Amino acid sequence: MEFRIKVNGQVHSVDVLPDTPVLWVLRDNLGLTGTKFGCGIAQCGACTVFLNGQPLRSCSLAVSGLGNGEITTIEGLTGREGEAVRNAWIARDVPQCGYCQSGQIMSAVALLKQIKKPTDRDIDLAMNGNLCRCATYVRIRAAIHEAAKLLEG
Amino acid sequence: MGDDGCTRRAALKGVAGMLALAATAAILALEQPSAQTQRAASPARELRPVTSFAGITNQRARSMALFEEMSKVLRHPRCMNCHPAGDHPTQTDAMRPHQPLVVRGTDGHGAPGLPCATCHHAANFDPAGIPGHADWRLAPASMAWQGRSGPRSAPRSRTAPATATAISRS
Repeated sequence: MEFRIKVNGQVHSVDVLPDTPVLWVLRDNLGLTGTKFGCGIAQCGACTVFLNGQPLRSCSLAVSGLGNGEITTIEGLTGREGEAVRNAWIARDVPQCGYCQSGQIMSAVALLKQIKKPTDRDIDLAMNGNLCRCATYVRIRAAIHEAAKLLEG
Repeated sequence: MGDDGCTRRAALKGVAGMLALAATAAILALEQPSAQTQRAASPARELRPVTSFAGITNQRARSMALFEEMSKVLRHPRCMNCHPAGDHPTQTDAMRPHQPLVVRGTDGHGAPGLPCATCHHAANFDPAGIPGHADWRLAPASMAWQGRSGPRSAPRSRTAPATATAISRS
């Protein structure tokens, strides 16, 4: 079945089964492999993207459920928060293996869009759905605080 | 039979319909593959018909009996999981703590950066085992049902006590 979906500002036509997870479409049909498959059951956060600017576990939604919604992946992440998080991630050398990091960054940006100066608790509540097997959590938290400072300036 | 009678009949039909719908939903939820990996026998399967309460002549006793029966549906994990006594939902038929840890947030839709809609969408998504609804959220704290018995939850419910009373008068 053909679906027309908008990803990172571009409309794509894909021919997939209606219950195909959005994650599959992004990676296998569109080649946007920055978004990772981790668990497939919305438990790890590696597949986090934005749907109309809000965080979405792309493994948890069928392509048929997208409607006219617009997806933003790590490849298409722009804006002040995205820039601040990217710079803070580099400055703090956050990633270790890096596999979970695109999901971590998407969630961090989603948080900073809503709370400009998050507390440790704000960060924990927003980020505890994003697992990191390298346990870079301390650096992630520090980088989010740093990104918040960058946004102030 | 005047307006009062019509109102009673309408209320009776409404509650019977609600019970039937809820029971059907509960049974369907049990029979369809879903996120719930641990299944428990549902008390909602044993719902009695409203007419079986006709023999209870005391209005208060009948109200309590009807609400107790209706609360079998309200106490189904599918309902109770999002009616916690605190700020964290539970999940599965075993009502274990929600994974990942999520919170009520200011409006019941979760924390900034991790709203309920991150994972829960308009419909169930069985490939990932994620239940859905268009406005997935926690019930208000004033409607906390976990840890309460059926009739004890009535004062917290805006519609159930009045409905039970309407039935008892019919």
